[in-house]
Amino acid sequence: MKTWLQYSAGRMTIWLPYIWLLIFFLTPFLLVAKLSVSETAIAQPPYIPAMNFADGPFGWWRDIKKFTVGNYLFITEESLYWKSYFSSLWIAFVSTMLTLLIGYPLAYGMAKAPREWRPTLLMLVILPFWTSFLIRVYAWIGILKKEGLLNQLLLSMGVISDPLTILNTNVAVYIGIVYSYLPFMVLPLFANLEKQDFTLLEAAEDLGCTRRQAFWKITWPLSMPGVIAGCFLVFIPAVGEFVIPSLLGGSETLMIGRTLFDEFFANRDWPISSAVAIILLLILIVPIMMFQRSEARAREAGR
Amino acid sequence: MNNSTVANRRTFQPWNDPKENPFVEFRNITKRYGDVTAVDNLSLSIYEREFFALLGPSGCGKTTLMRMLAGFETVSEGAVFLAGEDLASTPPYHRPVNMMFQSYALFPHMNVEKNIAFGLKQEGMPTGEITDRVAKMLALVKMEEFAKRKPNQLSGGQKQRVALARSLAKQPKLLLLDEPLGALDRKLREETQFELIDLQEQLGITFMIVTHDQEEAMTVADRIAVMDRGRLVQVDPPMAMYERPRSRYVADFLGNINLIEAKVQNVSKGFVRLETKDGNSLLVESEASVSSGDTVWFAARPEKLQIDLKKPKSGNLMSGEVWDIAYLGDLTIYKVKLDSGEYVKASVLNRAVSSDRPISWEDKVWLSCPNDAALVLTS
Ligand SMILES: Nc1ncnc2c1ncn2[C@@H]1O[C@H](COP(=O)(O)OP(=O)(O)OP(=O)(O)O)[C@@H](O)[C@H]1O
Ligand SMILES: [Mg+2]
Repeated sequence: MKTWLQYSAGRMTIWLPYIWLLIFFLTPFLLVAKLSVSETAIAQPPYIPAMNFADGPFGWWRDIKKFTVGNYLFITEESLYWKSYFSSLWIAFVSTMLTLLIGYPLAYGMAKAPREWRPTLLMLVILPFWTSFLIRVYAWIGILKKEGLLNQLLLSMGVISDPLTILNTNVAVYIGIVYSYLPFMVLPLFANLEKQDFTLLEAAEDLGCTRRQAFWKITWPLSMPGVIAGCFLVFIPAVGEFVIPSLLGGSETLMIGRTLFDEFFANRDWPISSAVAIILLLILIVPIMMFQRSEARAREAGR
Repeated sequence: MNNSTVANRRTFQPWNDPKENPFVEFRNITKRYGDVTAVDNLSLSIYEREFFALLGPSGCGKTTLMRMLAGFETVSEGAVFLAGEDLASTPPYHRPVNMMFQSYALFPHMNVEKNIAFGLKQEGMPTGEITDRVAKMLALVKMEEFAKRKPNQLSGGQKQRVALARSLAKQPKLLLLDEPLGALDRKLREETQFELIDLQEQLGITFMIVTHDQEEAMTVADRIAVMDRGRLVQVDPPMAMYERPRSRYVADFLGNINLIEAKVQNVSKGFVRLETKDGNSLLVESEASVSSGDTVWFAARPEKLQIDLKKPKSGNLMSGEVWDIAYLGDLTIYKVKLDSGEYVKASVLNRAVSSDRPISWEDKVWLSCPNDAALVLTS
């Protein structure tokens, strides 16, 4: 017989992740949500709290009725925000495709490498995580700037006669995102490709496929779960990316992370920037849910 | 070769016809993986429309031999010929050979129908014909109800049937079957064996089959090859293989056999007289090239030994005591301890329905066998 204590301890282990999420995810979210319906003010902090926890339940209801949707309306009217959202999604999409284009052959090569090399190759992919993300992005400034390593190399090889302007353009942002998020693409792809059954390709060849056809008819469709996982793992964080566009991007680079930062720190408009963040979250919920559904489907199929 | 010879399998013996060209020829094939020699200087000819079975213990190189024919392994030494052409530079997808894989290798993202249609689509067959052919194949392996299922929704035996259908769908000139029926239950296996034979006669496909089941090999094959550690030990039609094995290895591998060590006393006109260790004299009709004084083995299959309580008048006689009796339904097997201390098995067909067997445990019995029912084996 289980004692009550044992029983609730067993329950506890199930609830623990939910409690974790409640404390570290839902609470900040609610705070931001509350901020987004408050009014801006010249104060410290720079807004009139929309809700006071000390008011008690009846007070809260009174507060809720006074919530303002003005911040959200403002965002829909101001084209800067829409452009930022759209441009973020576009930059994230293009970067994701580029990452896939580079990451797939990389993962494929790793999966086909001799078994004893694979841990080393995997290590090399993960190695960049050992240094700070920020420092690695800074390093790219050194590579991409006018007098940077890349231009020096190309000039000395005689490929170009004038240095290229890459830094502070969208190209630099793409390079930065592809570089930073490549491991997130390679790892799920590698995990998928490594466990694929090689005899399937032989069977396809036996039935008349060339190596290349066998790849497109067998390997590629079977690697779809890995492709989808990798793409979402790159796309979702890339949409809200702030460090890369602000360090590598130029004035033309419009990304929502930067807009949010400017709104928060330059304009000190906390309610508006909170509203921007909430909308970003809502936009990302769609791909996140799609991702989870495809994961569930992959689990189902892989049974 | 005309059709009447095919219809009459008794006269189908292209391997005895010097004018016949082999369809498949392995010429001094060696295959090495590092320091493992999987196939060792092996030569073998297989003829058109032949049903050829490879038998041998696990790891003796059967799969490797097939994979070299299908084109998945390169040959370390020697050459493989198909219809007179050297296959060395032909990639697998251009060889008119299909293989059924030991692990089935069904495509997990396609349903049964699509798996079977795969090779046909690849070859550019019109859609209507593909549908017909797939339906035919599904009917052949009795998988019509499962056409829309994915491989992971099938049992092992069902997967095996789909794999068989897929490899048959293209109606290749040569079909390689690597343990095609291992996962089927006995009944379905027997049915499928006969279907394979029918199919082979209908389509005129040459079959090469790997199996662990010697009964299966005897049922389906025109000729059987027994392999041991990368070499062919003997290649013969089933009956010759069973009745005239040329070594203890083959005799023991195919069915049961009693082996008794003996010395050759004298050889004359197709007869060999042997003496066992306990002084028993045995006369065997044999062409074996032996001379007196050689140590050889007297070999007799259990069903060739007669067991009696009274001493028979003639034949090769051995006396002993019944040690164990196994009732198998159709047969009863007696394990007899000879006076020399060796154990010998004799099987008796249970013709009569009777529970009281005349011979019982610890009875003194006589075993006898005619001169032409035993063998002299030297190796
Ligand atoms: N890719 C490989 N690398 C190294 N050794 C191999 C390889 N493939 C097979 N071998 C070795 O070659 C030998 C023959 O293997 P093969 O698969 O042909 O055996 P088999 O007769 O088909 O056995 P089974 O009846 O178990 O299927 C074995 O000793 C095996 O370990
Ligand atoms: Mg094998």
